[in-house]
Amino acid sequence: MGKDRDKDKDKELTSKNEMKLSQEFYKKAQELFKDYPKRVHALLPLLHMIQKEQGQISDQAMEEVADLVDVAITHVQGVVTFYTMYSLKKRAPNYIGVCTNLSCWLRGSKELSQSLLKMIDEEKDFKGKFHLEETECLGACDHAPVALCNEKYMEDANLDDLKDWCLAKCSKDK
Amino acid sequence: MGNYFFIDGKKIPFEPGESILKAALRAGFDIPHYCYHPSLSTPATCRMCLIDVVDSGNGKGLPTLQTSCTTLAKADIKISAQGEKVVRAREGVLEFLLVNHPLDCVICDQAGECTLQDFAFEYGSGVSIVNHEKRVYGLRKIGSFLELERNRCIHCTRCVRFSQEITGNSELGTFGRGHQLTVDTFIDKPLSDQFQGNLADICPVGAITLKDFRFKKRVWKLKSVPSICDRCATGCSINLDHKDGTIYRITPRENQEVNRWWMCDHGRVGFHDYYADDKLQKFYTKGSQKIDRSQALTNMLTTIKASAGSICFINTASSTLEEAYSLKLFAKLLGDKAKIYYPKPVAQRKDSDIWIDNLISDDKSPNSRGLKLLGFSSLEEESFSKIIKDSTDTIIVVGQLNKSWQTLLSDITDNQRLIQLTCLKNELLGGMGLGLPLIPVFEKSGIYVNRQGRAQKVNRLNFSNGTSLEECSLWKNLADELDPIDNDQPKDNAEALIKLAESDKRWQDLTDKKLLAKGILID
Amino acid sequence: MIKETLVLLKNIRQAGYKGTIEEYQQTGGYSVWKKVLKDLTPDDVKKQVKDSGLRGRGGAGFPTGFKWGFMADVKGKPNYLVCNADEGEPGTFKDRELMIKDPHLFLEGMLISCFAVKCNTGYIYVRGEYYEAIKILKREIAQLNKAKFLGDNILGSGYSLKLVVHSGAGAYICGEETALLDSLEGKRGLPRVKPPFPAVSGFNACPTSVNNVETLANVPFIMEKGAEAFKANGTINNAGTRLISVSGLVKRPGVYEIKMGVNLKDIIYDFGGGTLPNRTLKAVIPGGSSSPVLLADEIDIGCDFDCLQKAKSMLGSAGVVVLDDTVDMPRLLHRLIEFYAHESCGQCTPCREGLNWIRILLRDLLARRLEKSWVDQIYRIAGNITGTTLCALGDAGAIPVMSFIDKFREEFLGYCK
Repeated sequence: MGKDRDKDKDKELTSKNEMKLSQEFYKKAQELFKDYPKRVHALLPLLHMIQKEQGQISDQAMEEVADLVDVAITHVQGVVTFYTMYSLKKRAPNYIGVCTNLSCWLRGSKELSQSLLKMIDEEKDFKGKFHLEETECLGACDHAPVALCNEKYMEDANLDDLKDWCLAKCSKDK
Repeated sequence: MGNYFFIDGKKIPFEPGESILKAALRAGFDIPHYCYHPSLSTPATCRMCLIDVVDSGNGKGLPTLQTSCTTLAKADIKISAQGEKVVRAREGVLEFLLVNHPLDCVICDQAGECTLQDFAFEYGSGVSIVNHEKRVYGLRKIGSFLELERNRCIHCTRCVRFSQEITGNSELGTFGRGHQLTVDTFIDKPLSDQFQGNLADICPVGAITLKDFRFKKRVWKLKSVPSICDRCATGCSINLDHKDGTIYRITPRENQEVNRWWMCDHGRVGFHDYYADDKLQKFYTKGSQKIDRSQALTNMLTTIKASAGSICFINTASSTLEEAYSLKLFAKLLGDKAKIYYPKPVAQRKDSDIWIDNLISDDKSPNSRGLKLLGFSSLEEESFSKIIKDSTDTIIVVGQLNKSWQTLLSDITDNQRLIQLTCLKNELLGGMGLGLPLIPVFEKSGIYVNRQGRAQKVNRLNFSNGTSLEECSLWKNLADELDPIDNDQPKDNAEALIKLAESDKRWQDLTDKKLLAKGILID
Repeated sequence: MIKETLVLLKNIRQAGYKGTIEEYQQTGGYSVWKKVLKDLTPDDVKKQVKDSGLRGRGGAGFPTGFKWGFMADVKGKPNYLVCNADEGEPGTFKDRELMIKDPHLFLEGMLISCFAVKCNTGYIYVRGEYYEAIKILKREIAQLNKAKFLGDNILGSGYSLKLVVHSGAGAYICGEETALLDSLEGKRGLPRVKPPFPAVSGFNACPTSVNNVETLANVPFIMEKGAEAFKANGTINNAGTRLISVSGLVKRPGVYEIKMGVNLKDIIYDFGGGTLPNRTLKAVIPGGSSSPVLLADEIDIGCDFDCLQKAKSMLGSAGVVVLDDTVDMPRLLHRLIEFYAHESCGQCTPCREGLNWIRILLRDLLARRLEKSWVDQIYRIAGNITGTTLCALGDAGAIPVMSFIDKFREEFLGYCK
């Protein structure tokens, strides 16, 4: 499970990965810079690109991007650790975020998320393929409970549909 | 209508554009605060300095409490800092700060100078109802100079802002968010600058402490003597925190004209040199043989008397103004054969854009400017070499030469005589000639003139090791031997200053109060 | 049976409407934009919006015309308009509906508003999880460029505008306008000290107006039909229609458009279809999760800024969440506080420490580990957060605590030892 809110423990703040950022990344970055008065303004979109490319934002990537936008490394690390969509540790390739806020919670999303976690733990094929998180309000409360499956919303989500989605992802990977 | 406003009925003057907190603190009115520091930006996040604006100048108050650090002072507004609403809010904020702060002041080194402890004592409710586990952060290293204990951190971010705004290196940052917010460097990366000690000073709690001072002495056992740092020509205002004459730490003393609130780490821990094992406390004769004090002084007198040729004094500008003047008078007594020089100060490198970088002078002598004002001639290294080779009869070094000058002394021939007065032992000393120990800076009281031309007071601790020499009395003793009837040699620094002021009115009216506060610009 | 007043949802309610630029133009879309460019000055637009009495739809309800009026003309500093599409208030989903189903209505409003504040680069800060909305907006902005409604020297008017879609990264606090600006500048989203207000020093220290999606989507109507027509849809001080997000335990959750002032009870029963079968209404959260909860017998009131304030609650983001008799209030509150504690930026002491403390206490309460006196302690702690923080998040978290305990004290006591 992505979050354990009852643990008052210090979050791991960094993560090693020697992977360099791609040429493609640097090309896209140059395009992005045109949209903002300063390079550093593009930091959030740049980090999104890294997260997508590498499944994490490693120390190495933070250092590279700090050089690229010309800010201190602590600035980048501060930003990465502030926003929940960035992760220092490598995430499994497929993301499932189950909204457990107000309206979804009222419609049983907490139970859904727990069953989903159990299912992903138990299914052998699912191992290491799915990153499950409980998210805050996803803004689709009229179709509660909602799950964010990679970049698409699954509205009125239930365990069967989520399982089908996971199975589809697995067969696609094969 | 003047530039005044009122806190709980007390009239407080202010400068336009100034915050209520700043004006209040200057007027001696204490409003508790943590994140605010006069040198740093104002994030208004600790929420401790909340006040109630009961009349914002139009007869009406503001509906919500305001932070006094961000609310601008305006003429005739009325503030409540002790009203029920404020007191309750402040108690609430304090309670929040203490929810996760360890209540183990007895084993915390900040105890005694912790503003959390102080304010909790003064404004807190006195009871803790917290009955759950406290937040625990992992251990982090931030270098060899400071200890970071994040569990004690109250997230005021002064340290982070110092690294962003004062040293500009941003080596510290805030990471995470919410109750997991934390202060750290990038993966155990050590801090690299030379001003780290200031972080321990501005940390209001025991989260950042000096490794050098940690657990050495409880702060309430220390006494403070205001003085000046002697490690370079900047002359930062400092406090000597000592117990029974032993210095435990040095902290910067605010002086907006010189060092603002800061000092460098060299100055902060440099005092250890004076307690080091290699400190010269004994008297040596040529060939490194120990001799007793009176024998050493006799030898010195004999040497001076025997000098038929020239006598060259090199004063390394760690003498106070008074001591240097006293030397000048002594040399006068010796007549034309005596010459006094001081090593030419290294020119300051180009100004850095970052203010604090200019705090460290390249000239490591604290009083070069003072000697210049006394009319001493400066000497290049080459000329010093020439003086030695020109077979100057006697060379008397007052103070510690730097390494390359010291090396030049090895050119001295058997026909020449060398006397070195210093408070640091040096492997060359004993072998080369007569070696006599001087009292260290912490045992003397006098004036240094810094690179700005500002006269400042260096203060003594009232403790002495008893054997080392005090410069004025040394010259006085020698003068009395040379010319017991008609010498004008002052017996101590105080008398030297009076004589100096008589001869040059620039040195009149140097009161201790002024010298200690901001110093007096002479030049 | 009440009916919707369709202004913003006019197109969306048409069967088969896909929201393409062609469809939008067929319904008369972008004719206002053309008219504005051809005939009006920025000041004309500003005046008309000011006259309309339009108030911000993000939650605070600040008059939009005034906000624009405060923008200082500073030499050498460009003006910016930043659209706040960081919808995150639990129970609110109207902005997403607009962006996905009728993006051009909102975009036309954005274009006209940028023109009004003389902005040449407009930013749309969309929350990161709204992948679909981001994709649609980027695609439709490309269409606008193609249609020459956007770009350099638009339709020969001499006015140039570029729109940039900026994606957030998962931080509720970035819905606060100054935190949003910090985030847009590539920083941690920390609310700033005000003053200076964004109108003076906002994005990149330039004069900036930050406006909500729904607010901007109202602008084409105001410019087309006039300020009076806009005012006609609403009450005094509450001009125009309002999108209400109805969710929770009702039969027909969804976004509904009402004239301001329509009865809250009617919204829940006529639009929302009332409670689920065999359940009874327990309470209603009327304006997003941070608004004080109303009991079932307190909801017979008008839905506008003033009426709800009189009822000691608030309209906020107009996210109406319906709670029935199956809802365990302490558990719900615990979940809400987990949310607020998790989303606190952490800079202010009361919010950082206080919300988390309440979270832990509610956890212990639910585990039946607390004595009865703790209910009052929790209430007191929440009270100490209110009014002491830099931004409204501290209050947003503390207010539901106090209102839940005020109205459902027995349920909390029931969990005590």
